[in-house]
Amino acid sequence: MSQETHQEDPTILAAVDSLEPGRSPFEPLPPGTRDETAETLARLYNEVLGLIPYELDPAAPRPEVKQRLMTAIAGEETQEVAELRAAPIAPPASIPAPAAAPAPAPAPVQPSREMRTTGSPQEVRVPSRRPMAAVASRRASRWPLALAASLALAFAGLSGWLYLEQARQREKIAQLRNEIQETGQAAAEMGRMRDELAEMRDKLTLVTSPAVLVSPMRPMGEPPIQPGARGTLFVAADHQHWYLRLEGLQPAGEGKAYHLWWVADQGILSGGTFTARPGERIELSSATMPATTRAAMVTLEDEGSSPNAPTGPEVMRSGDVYEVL
Amino acid sequence: MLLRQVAERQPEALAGLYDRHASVLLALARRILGASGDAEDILQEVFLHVWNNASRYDASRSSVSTWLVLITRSRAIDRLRHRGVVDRAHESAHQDSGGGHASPEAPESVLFRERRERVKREMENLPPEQRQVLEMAFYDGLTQSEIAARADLPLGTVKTRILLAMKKLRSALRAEIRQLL
Repeated sequence: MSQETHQEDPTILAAVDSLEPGRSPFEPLPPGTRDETAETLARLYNEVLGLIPYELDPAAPRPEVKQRLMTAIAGEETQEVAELRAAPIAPPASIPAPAAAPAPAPAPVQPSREMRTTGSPQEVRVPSRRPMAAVASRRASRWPLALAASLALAFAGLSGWLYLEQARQREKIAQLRNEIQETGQAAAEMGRMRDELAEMRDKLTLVTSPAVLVSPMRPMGEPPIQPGARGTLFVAADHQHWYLRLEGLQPAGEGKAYHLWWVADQGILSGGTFTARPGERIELSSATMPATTRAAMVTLEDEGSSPNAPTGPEVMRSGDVYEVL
Repeated sequence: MLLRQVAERQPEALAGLYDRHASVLLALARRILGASGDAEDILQEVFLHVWNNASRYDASRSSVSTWLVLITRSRAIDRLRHRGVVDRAHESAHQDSGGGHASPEAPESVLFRERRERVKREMENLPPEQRQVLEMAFYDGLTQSEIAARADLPLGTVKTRILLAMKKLRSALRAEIRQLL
């Protein structure tokens, strides 16, 4: 194992250590390792851990698990629906059922289990069971009342069922409306996301390609001219493709420009100029880099100054280079 | 995007997230806990946690998939330790992972199936001693010292094996990692 690869070992062990009980993989990185390279590496090794369970055969949860979850998050809405569903069961209490049944028969008012689940008008009548002999003896005198009560019960049950059905339809309409809205938003964002994704993939091809060279860019000067500046240089295995990401660089100022230089065996060679805007990340990349390049540096130059050699102060320079396998 | 909608309290988004990830997360919880009832409880807890904490997700630290996996793993390990029957659960978990699911096969997207095949292959390609320590850390929730004691190995050897396994996986699973980023 090379010395370069040892440098990522603490990051890997930190990722694995974070699996221990009471720890979190999303804890801040250890002091002294908080640079962009370490953060990128930590992210990559977190993703390795996140992929491990994909080796397992997937297991479909029972449908009830999802139902329970959705019910739990529905919260108050769910309670309202439950009350609505229970409502049609109540009518026997407000209907003159006792007229058809003898006085000590309040029990039928209580909804039975079957009534709660189906809510059909026929089942609403189930509780009005009573001795057949008594009914027969009173049938002649009370049949109009009994008929009225039955009709009232049936009507109440039907009303309840209709009310419930209406509530269900309202719920369905709201759900469809949400789906339409969601589809519209998704379509609008899809194009933008696709563009961003393609751009990210191009950049990250470097970051995740085999044997990429990585070097943190550090502020230079005593004291540092730009103490808040930081960044990372990624160089592909072909030593040609590179991608430089810088953050925290203040604007160069009137008549000034930042200049990127390659420090190679044949001397210091221009990598071009760039501008910095407040709060914006700078991303530079190219498919060419001078052969034998050993480091990169950024200087602050007068606009229009010679592109052959740096004349202004050095603002940033690449640090240790190590290979990420 | 789904997670952002979850943070905005859209239940349909949570349902979408659930449909996409539940089968992998349940498989993970079962691998750790064995008993499917507990595993399904964990699954529900995880998605309730997501519902209440979606806004705390930091996209710069991990993909959504990894975030969900690590939350599930953490909760399942907590449950396992809480039970205090680590060994027994461990054994049953291994039995479960050998097949014989009570539930029907989960519907998988092509992407997930390819990912599973690739990860499975790369895990199998690891030398057995490296895979063993990695699985003990990941599925059994053991610290490196506990692994060393249980496997009767020096702590340094455990660390080296874990490092080698992680580096191999990172290198072999580049394409999958790129999809997640």
